[in-house]
Amino acid sequence: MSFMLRRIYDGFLFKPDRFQIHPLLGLTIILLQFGFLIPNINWSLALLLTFVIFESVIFRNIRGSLSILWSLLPVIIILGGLTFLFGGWILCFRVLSRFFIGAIGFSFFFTSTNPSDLTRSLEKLYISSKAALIPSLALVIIPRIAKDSEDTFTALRLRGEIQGGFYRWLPKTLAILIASVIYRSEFLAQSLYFRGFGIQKRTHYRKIKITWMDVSRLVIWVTFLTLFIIFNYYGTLNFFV
Amino acid sequence: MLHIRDLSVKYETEKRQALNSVNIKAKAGEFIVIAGPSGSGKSTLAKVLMSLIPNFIKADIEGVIEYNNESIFGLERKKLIKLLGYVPQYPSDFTTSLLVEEEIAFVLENLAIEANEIKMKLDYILDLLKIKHLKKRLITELSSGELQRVALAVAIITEAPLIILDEPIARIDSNSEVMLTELLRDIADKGHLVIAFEHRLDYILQKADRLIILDEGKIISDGLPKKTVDLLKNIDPPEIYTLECSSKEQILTVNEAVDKCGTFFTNLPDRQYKLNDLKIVDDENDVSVKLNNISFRYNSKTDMVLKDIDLSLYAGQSIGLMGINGSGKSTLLKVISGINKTASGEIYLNNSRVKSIRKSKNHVILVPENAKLFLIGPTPFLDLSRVIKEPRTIHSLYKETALTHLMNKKLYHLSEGERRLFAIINAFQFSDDIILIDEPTIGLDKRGRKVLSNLINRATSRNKTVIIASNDPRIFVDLDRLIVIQDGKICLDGEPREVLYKIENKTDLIPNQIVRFIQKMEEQFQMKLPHFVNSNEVNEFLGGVR
Repeated sequence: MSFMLRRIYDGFLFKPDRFQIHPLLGLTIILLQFGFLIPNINWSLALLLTFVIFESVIFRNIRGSLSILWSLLPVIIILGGLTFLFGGWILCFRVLSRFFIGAIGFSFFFTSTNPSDLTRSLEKLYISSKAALIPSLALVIIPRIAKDSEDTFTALRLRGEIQGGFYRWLPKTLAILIASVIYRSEFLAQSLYFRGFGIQKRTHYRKIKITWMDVSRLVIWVTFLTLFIIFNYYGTLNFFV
Repeated sequence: MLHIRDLSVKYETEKRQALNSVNIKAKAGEFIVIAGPSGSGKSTLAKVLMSLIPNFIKADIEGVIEYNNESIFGLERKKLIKLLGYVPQYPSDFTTSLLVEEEIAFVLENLAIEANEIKMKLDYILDLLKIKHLKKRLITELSSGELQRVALAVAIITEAPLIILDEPIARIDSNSEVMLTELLRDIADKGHLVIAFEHRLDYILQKADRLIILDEGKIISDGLPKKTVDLLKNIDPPEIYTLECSSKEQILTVNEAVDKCGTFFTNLPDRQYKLNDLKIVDDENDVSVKLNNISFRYNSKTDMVLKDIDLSLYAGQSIGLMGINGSGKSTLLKVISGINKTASGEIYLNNSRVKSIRKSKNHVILVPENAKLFLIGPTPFLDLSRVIKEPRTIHSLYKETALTHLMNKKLYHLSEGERRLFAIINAFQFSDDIILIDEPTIGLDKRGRKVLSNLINRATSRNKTVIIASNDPRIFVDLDRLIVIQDGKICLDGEPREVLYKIENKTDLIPNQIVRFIQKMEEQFQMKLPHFVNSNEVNEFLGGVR
């Protein structure tokens, strides 16, 4: 459990010293990925998986992606095993590929997006400050909750309370996780109140520039869309049936 | 002008009033310190001043708080933000961004200040607080002292006329304590009203204009620090003030004490004074923690936080870890406990090598700086009953520490100091061998410190090892050994008396006031004095001649 939480923290924490993607581009791509996860098209899932892995490699986020995948390892094993046993390998592929795409894609989005820049970009699109803050708060709070939970889990472990089967300590850990979410949310609300959030239209002290990273990402995903349209036009590829 | 009139606060869940008819008048340019034991109502007063009560915490309020004849309650939020700057007790709880620069700029953006002006203010404030190097850093990776300065930057960047600080010194090293105190004085001199709620009074009182003492929700004294310090109840006054010659002359600074008390020393006839014997434990069989060539870093791209640490800690020893903020004290505790996995080196607990927490189970217990993360039961009693099944035993344990009246209180309703004290007491019952405590003195009053000291003595007499990382130099004088960490390396290691007399020359730290006093006496009067570390020793020494 501890290693899972640590990896969620590592895999989802923004890395300012590495690279930053324009938040709107990042958000668009993650929504695009989500959209392509919905239909049950095998070749589309395979293509998407190839692209997220490729992107993860060229933008050097393999570590973050692996962190998240490691953290999901028990889920992957259980879910993969069950779907394979009861639904065959195609169902197993459909379920697991969605997990992989989600984990790799989200890790990339979290590690390359400055939450404050995301708010600023959304505000530029005339989205209200309060609505614009919601996705960026998720980027701030998720790694912190993972860290809080890890620290508390470690304390439980040192106290000798994590013993026996997981059914004994898992409810305790989940309770801590929920407590942490409530606790963080309460303080966050107080903090936003005292920082004057939402009292008037905000100014932005930083301009977000478009970099060659953004252009490269755009090229990758335009390529993906083009391939998708071509494959779709010429009929479903004879791939996985 | 701030005017608090007949302020009474009662939490809905409590029977007694948290604040009872509090009256304070303060004007711009004043630097006020409000002190009081744990549970005296300090945090409640801070929360009411900040309008956290009643906006976020439900409580019955009577009385008025006015600033320039305008009530703070019901004040428009924009006005409230422009009026108040706040440094919370746990700055990490109050952050809204991930990067330091974003965190500081956030409030200015919300106040619709132009981008160029924000940049100028940001650079100025980072420079003023000497945290320019932190600008692009992640908040989650700052040490608590660094975070404290970031929180102060957020509080003062709006140039709010009223700055409220909840235990601003508790988490910072002695060097930063002096720096921060001077900075608060400067801020007050620029016309701001600065109110600091604080326990550690050694330096802050030197610069403060007023000391207000709270006890059981009431103001028991309000006046010049020199005049009122005598009335402190259950709080340690500045160490230098506890010298007999100082308290008579109402002295709060080391320099003043050297000038005024110097004659007592210069008129002394030659005499021998025997300091307490050093407690030396170095039997290899008694090694409880052995670190061989330990290095640690948070990830492969960052620098080493700990570098080639070789260390043997013995059973029955109490050990202090001292160092400036970010030097690696807390990290070392986490390495010993197995939370942080080392980049290289070996850890042995009781002569057997340990690779993970699982293997060190029940040998080691760590109380983190944030005690909220340690206590798990809904009340201190229920928390301890997870390991001690016999209620009578728990009851008698809390009775010894005079805390039975609080043991069934919900953790959420305890003050920060009370929660920390319970976390420490419970931790001593959890471990068989090694107890690690990070910053135990935050929020602890005199009684809490005494409980801590008794627990340490009892544990070491039972051959347990106690390791304490702290920024409070006064806690180290009673320990068996003191280790100073600088830049991730062990810089000094030895008996506290020896180490405290070396740290000013060899590190960036400042020793406690008594050590500084003796060093200055030796320097000014060209005399050799015994290396006293606390005021009792000095008073005893002088007692023989007066």
